[in-house]
Amino acid sequence: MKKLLVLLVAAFLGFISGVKAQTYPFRTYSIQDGLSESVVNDLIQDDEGYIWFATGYGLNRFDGINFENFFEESGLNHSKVLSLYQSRDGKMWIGTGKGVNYMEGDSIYSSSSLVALENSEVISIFEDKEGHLWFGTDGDGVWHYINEEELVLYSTSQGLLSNQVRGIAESENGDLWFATRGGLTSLSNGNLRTYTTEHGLPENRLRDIQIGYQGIIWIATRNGISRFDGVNFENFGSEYGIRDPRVQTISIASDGSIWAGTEEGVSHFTQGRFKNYTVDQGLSNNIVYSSIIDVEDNVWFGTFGGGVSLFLGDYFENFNTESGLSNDLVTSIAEDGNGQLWIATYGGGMMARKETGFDHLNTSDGLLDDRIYHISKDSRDRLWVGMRDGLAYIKDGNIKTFTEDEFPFRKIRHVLEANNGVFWISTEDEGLLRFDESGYEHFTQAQGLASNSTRRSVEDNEGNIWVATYGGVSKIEEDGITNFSLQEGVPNNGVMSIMKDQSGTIWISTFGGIAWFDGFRFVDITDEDGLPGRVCYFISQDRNGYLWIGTNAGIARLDVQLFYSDDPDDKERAVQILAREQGLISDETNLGAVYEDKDGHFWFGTVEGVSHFNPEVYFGNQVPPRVHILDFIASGNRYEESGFELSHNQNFVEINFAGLNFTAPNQVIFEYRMNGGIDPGRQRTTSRSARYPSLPPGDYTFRVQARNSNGIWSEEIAEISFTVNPPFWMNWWFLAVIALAVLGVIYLFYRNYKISKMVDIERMRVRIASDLHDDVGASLTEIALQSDFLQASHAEPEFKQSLNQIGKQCRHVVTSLDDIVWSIDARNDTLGDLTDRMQDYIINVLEPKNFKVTYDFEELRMENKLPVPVKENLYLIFKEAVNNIAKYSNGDEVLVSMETNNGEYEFKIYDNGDTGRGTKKTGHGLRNMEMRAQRIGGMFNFEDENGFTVSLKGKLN
Amino acid sequence: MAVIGIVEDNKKIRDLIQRYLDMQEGMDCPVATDTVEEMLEFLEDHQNPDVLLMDIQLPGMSGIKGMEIIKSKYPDIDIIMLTVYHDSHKIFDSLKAGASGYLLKHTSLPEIKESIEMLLKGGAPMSPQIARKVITHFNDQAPKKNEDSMLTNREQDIVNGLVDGLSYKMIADRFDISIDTVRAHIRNIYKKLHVNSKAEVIAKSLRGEI
Repeated sequence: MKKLLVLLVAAFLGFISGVKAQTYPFRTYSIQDGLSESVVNDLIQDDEGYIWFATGYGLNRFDGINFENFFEESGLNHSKVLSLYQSRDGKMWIGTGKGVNYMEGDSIYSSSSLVALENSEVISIFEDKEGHLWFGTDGDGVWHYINEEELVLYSTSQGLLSNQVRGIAESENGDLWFATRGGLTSLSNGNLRTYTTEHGLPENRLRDIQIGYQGIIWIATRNGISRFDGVNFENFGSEYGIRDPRVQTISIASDGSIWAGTEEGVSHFTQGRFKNYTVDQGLSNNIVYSSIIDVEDNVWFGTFGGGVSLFLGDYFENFNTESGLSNDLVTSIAEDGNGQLWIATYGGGMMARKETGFDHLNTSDGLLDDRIYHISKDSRDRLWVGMRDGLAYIKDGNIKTFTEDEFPFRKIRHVLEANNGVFWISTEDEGLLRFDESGYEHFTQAQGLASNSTRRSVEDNEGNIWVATYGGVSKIEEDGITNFSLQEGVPNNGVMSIMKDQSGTIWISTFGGIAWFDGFRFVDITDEDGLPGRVCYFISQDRNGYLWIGTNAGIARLDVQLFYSDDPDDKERAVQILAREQGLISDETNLGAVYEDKDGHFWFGTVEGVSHFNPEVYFGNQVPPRVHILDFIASGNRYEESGFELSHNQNFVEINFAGLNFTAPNQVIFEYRMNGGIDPGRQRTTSRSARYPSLPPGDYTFRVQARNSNGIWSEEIAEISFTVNPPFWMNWWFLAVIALAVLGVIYLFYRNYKISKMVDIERMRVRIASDLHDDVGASLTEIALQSDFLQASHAEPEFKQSLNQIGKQCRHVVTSLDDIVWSIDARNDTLGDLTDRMQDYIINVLEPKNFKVTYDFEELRMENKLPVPVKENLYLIFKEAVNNIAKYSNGDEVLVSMETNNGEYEFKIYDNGDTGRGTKKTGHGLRNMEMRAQRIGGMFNFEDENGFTVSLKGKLN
Repeated sequence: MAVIGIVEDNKKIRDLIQRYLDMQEGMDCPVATDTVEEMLEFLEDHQNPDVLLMDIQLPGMSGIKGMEIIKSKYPDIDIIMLTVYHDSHKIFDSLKAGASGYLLKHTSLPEIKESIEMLLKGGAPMSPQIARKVITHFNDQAPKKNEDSMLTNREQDIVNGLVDGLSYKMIADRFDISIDTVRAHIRNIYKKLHVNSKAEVIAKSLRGEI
């Protein structure tokens, strides 16, 4: 016989552990988060979406992540802030310990017309329909602030029940209601009317007043809340379940239910009953001073000493060791045949969930091990328990454990009952067991399994078994095993969970995302596709078809149809995240720890306890986030309004922005874009800032949009425009100047080059000529002098004649050389130099022949310069002409004239001889002269009427 | 007996001129040096020549500089420039430095002898180019109103004549004076030119320009 250990579980049911109950998604904001003080007297949400906190020391503006604090130094009359109100013109009115300030933009103002209030603590503020403000004080009555100019006091003298006015409200008809410490006073057409316990109020000390649907007045009293329809008071106190009737604050939710903050926690009045929440449920402090409901339907509570408590909703109930669990590491959840929900832990055995608390079951009750991996119910209502130390099942309160002989395997990770009644049991490191009444069959790597480390199995519609292993996926068919790993599209070979969806598709969850099998290979979906984390511990499908994926960063609900939709908006909403921000007890879920109970509620096992999720009361967050640009910082300077200009070296730009979503502020996704000179396109980030280290000059517009975790985009796009000015050296005018300068320099270089080239040529000519003149000239001079010397000696006359010829010839050559050097030497470049030279030449050549030479240079400006080529050729033509006269002319008069006019010159040389008329024209000299004239672009002419005239006309330059 | 000295760096030319002049009656050419420096040394302890033929381009001290020094130490020596160039600028510079005339090197030996004789007789050559420069020079001096250094009317006439290209003979004819008188005037002009230049040099050195 099998050794059966049967124990009566019922015998232990009387034992109830866990004095505390479950917690709810409350989130605390305290001094640690940036709140200026822990006593929160009032809170409001402004028209831009920011939440403001009036604390005992300082005013706070909150964007979901960061607090901005304002104190006396910032302009407040007093740092003790008691009340807040935003009027319709956008001004934020701030009631302080010393009167009232208001805030406009980012600045705090005080008004001289409010001086009268500076000795009062202003504890309530209200704007009536006519736009006039009312200030309720703590002991100094209520003040009517007419046109923001004049203060009119209403106090007990006028008939107010008490001068402590804690709440002000206005009816549709314009009647004002004052909640005072002495009862309710109304102001109707200038008449004050009072309501006290005599009229039906449960208590005269009133704390708050709100007007709800259909003009119903809700009043917070020291004895519960009171509903006043204008005629009768209906009171809801302890008899309706309120934990503490001393109500300090009330807020009316969008569904008409009332939230009451009391001195012992908060109480939610809905459907005629109060549901109470205290610090045990997650509230930060039990004394609640103030409350609001924001546009996302989150409820905010300002507490006395506990900062701010934000309530997201009771769709999550969380359990951990403090609320009665035996262990926080919840590995598996299941219901047994009686519908009893069981929670299994690794190290604390298992627990049955009861109305209040849990019934524990552990080794002392007969379990093999308190380290449980897995529990699940089979078709015969047996609750199978896979433990580190073996296998058992529970049936009707009896625990059946399997002996070493019956089932010699440990570390049982999963038990699957196939359709044919056979069990498939996954073990941590001993492979897979096919198990039935007759025994077991062992599948390991030896049989072809992908790994001996198995986690879970599932049966497909064809009856094949698919196994999640740490070596990939194994498919066991009649005729063998097929394995799927990275090559087949498995995102990670560490496969932790496997399931079959309603259409029969196999899904897996791995260390690297999830995947589904398309018939041939796996198609993955990872964190890059929007899953909150990469490591996916479980995957499960609910009755509505959604996939639930547990990751290391919360849980994702995946709508596969939306995910594969072509509509990008659909795709945005395909993945919805439930993480710690939404109230999940921990972001780190456990392998296989997911269960949908008979009510359609979910149980998620994490490393810090278990969360119970009720999808019926969770609507996600359908409110578009508000988006704001908070800061624009360029190289250390802050800018606010669009249109500013930055200099080129101020172009390190950092832009901080916020997407206001208070449910899940850290899951807000931003999409931004910088339009302008550089455009890296759209960027997506969860970071609240964008940095541009070096913007080139240009006009820019930065735009940012925010998306909440439910895929809802902000309706507006925040933008800021600015200009980065180019440095002066990039301005067009500067570039133009530079271009001109460069051209100028190039021109100068070119000109200089040209000139230096010309000068070089000139110098070379002069040098060659000078060298010739010096060397050859010197030698010829020697020869000439030698001949002179020899002539002086005693020699034959014929010999002397020859010597004379030699000397003459030598001197003639030297003279010619001298003429050439002179004519090309740029230093002798004036008209004066030329005419002097001509005169010298004539003296040398014609004077000995007794010509009478007349010069006509009267009109010449002798200091004017002549271009070297003109000078050279003109002089040589002149020489030729003079030589011709000397050689051939039979006249005795010579006239040399030159004049210049308008940049032109005319040179003439005339002699009165008439010999050789007609014969000289073709002479060598004339052709030579003509050629020289052409060289300088001159007009050469001669005529032989009445003597002989040679003339040359040309341009000076 | 006229004593002639030569400063010329071309040995052959120097020797030829020296030997030729030595051969002439009434001329003695005891010294012919390479450089101004050597000539200055010679002048220290020898009889000073009456006329010095001096090249402009010389190794060491230039002929123009040398002329200034010799003229300042031995104002009685007449210096004739020997130049390879018929270059009015250089010639004028040398005249200002104290030369009494100039000769081109290729001038024939008899002509050189003639020029020396002419100079010894008190005459000096002046070409139209030089004459123009003379006019310009004295016009520039005009504002200084130094009567001593201004040209006389007659000197002015002669220079103008030269500028017009007239020969000495024609100038002599035009003004009805002897050709020797023309030469004397020209010589005088050279002297004034030199004095002017000296004054200019002194003024410049006083102003710290040199």
